[in-house]
Amino acid sequence: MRAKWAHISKNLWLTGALFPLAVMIFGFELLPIMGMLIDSFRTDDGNVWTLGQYITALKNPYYLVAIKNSLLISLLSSFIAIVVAAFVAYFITRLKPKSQEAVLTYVNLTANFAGVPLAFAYIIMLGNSGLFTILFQRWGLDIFSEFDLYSWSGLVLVYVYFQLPLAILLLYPIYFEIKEQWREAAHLLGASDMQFWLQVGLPVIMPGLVGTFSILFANAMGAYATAYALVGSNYNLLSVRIGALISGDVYARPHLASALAMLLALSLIAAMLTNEYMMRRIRRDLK
Amino acid sequence: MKEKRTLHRFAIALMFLYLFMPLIATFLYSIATDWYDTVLPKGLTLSWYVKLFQDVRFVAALGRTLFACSVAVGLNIAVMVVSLFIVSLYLPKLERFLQAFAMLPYAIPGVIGAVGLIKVYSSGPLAISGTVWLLIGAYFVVILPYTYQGTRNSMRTVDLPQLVSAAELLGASKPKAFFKVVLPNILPGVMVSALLSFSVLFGEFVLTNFLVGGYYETVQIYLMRRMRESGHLSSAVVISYYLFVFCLSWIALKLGQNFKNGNSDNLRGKKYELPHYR
Amino acid sequence: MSYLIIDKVTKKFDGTVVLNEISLAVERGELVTLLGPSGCGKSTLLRCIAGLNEVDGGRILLNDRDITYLAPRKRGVGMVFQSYALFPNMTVYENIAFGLKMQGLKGGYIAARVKEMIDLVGLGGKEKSYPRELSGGQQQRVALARSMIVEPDVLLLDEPFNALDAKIRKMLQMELKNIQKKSGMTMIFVTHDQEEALTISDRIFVINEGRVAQSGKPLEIYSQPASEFVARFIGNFNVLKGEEFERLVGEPLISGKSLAIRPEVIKLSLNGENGKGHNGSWRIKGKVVSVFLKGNILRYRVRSKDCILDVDVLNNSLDCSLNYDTSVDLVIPKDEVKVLNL
Repeated sequence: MRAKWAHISKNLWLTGALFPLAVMIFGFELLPIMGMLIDSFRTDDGNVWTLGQYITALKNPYYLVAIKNSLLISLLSSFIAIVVAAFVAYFITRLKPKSQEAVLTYVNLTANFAGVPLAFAYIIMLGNSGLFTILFQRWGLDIFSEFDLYSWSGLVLVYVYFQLPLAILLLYPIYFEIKEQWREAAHLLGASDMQFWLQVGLPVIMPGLVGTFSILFANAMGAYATAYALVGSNYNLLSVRIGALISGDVYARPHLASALAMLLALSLIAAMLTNEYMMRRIRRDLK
Repeated sequence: MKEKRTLHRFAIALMFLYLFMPLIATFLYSIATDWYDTVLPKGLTLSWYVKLFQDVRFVAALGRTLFACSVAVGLNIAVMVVSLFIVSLYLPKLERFLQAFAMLPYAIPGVIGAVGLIKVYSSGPLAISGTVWLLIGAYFVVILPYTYQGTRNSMRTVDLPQLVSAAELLGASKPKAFFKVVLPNILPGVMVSALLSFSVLFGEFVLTNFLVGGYYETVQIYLMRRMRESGHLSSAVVISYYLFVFCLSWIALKLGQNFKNGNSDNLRGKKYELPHYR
Repeated sequence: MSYLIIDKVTKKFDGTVVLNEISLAVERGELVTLLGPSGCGKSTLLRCIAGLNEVDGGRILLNDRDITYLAPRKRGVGMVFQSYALFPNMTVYENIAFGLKMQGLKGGYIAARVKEMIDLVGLGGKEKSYPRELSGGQQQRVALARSMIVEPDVLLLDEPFNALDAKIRKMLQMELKNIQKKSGMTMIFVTHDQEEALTISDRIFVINEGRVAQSGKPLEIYSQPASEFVARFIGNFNVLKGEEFERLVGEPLISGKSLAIRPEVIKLSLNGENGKGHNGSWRIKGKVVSVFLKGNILRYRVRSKDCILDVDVLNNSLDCSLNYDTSVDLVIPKDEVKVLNL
């Protein structure tokens, strides 16, 4: 009897110690997600169940364009970053181990440079009266006079900037999956460098490439601070639209924002599932 | 072979030029007296930094940032260490749930988090919207993935269950084993994740702006608002911010190296901690 | 002229000489072994032949071609690695077919050849498996088939069985020898295991410090070691200095050189049991210091006049082992004492 009581009191004590973490996770993680999920199926006054918010999000050209723009810039910036990073990360693996460590440390440092400070740095460099903008004007470099930092191309440039270090850091370890002896074996069996990469190298790192791409994609889809600091609410992106719908006092439509946020979350989940599906398709050996 | 290596070095140098260009430009701008139509600034000065740190509004913002970040990180670490200790010793079945909930915030962009938090806390019984308490709660969740991973990894490195058994066989009670044996051993690893979390929060803008933007001006909000007023002053903010984060990362790196006893082999195939959503 | 000629090949790594003007020749259809302790340069020599390491001096001739500076894929050299180096993204079939595919051959022909090879190495039914689904022994069979299918002029095997456990290792050694005889392929096998070298080789090159210490048929090397190094490395020989030996047998010797005696040629008996030694042998007294059971033999370590001698005795009865400090007689046949040149 006493043993049983000891058991129960011990359990109580343990549960009590876990209580703070449980409360915080519930209050600031699960509750908000559930609240948002419910909100997205409610009318603007919050009284009636409806699919209306989703219909608005997917039918209204304004929001449709925002979704399309977000998908485009995420795919494009991820693609550019992963192609460049694929080469750079490989080059890094060819350096001496000491240099590799140093290079990665510096890349890691720039990976922290994002959001508002990054947007600001680009405004200083390439904004309307930016350092390079004025220099290029004085030097008469007309190719750059067309460039507008506050437009699509400027946004892509900045997105690529914050995707690149992340892509390098994610791809670098992947190259160590290719064993040097595979390359040697392939060469001895008559394969050229190109044939080795096509037949062995790329298939081996493909899961890593696809996985990295999906992380980059998600990273760009969710990005808000950089775009907001650069173009405010002027450029039509999904994350910027969601922000405007919850922060604008007059135009605040939290239920529509919830529906858009759910769509954004769905796109991230889709990216993750595509990643897993692709992995299974590409590498039949990794069941 | 030699030619290829030169090509590699050139490509890497080019990448660094690209990656560091914005930082260099910002830095030069922050120490320039006047600079708008010349290749290099006309004169150099530290007056922007002096001005910045004399600005009461900035100093107040800095104080707010430090307060919110410290409370969130301190609270999180304390709760996380105790919870993981208990879960991995007594309730290993809960480990999977804890991992799922702790890692989930990593997959949620700030803007989505903001929608949910505003919905729950802007009205009703829990209307703490606009206060620092909501911000601290949000920060707490943002850094969960980092503190969870850091703490769990250091507990695994020291093989927690065995360590506690050893201490108990030598006559220590469980709480004593925790404070005298476990804590000192996992402290360096936990410190690393605390510093990492701190630098993540220091750069946090999205949640801060939505949840408390108008009421609780942090450094990031300050920067956002003054960005278009004075370029030089804002440059000084950016560089100061960056130096601070740089120092944090550097300390974390050194701590981490000591913790791993200088085993440099683990660079190969090392997975890096992921930066937070921007 | 020999089929494969290594002519004064030198290789340095960061200033350290790994191969020191090493020269050797291999005939067509031979299975030779490069045998030596780790770090002796045997694997480096193999990689130089394959073109995976560049040489710093000397020439390599294969089948009357100078291949010293050819790219690996143009040398007609195949290689089997210790770690198998199978392509993880390909099935057994695709791995074996790889070399023929690189030659741009037709699918039908490839399929027929792959089937032949799979039968040769005994992997029927595993065509669609991936390397990670195979055991170590099976993986090494695939590696063997993959490099043999392109019929290289010479096949290099770099400690191919090292990662396998003893039983499978022994089995694969025999199989490799059979396959080699059947195919008539020239093979160079690198190992640090003298037993393995003695079992499978037509000829052995003992390598030490980047040079050939001795070469010859397995039996020659085993019974006539040319130097103290070979004697110690090959057969656990008892190596004695000239003066030590003189003290031991109480007879002056002509040369002051070292001597080697195999442990199994010394006969051991209890004191006075067998009377006197014959004319063709020395008889000495000693005491047992220790005894090791090595499966089918017992190895006694015997001290005699401050010299230590190992003596192997066939372990044919369970209670014949002698205890510590037992006095024994040793009979050493005179013609089994080998004078070492170095």
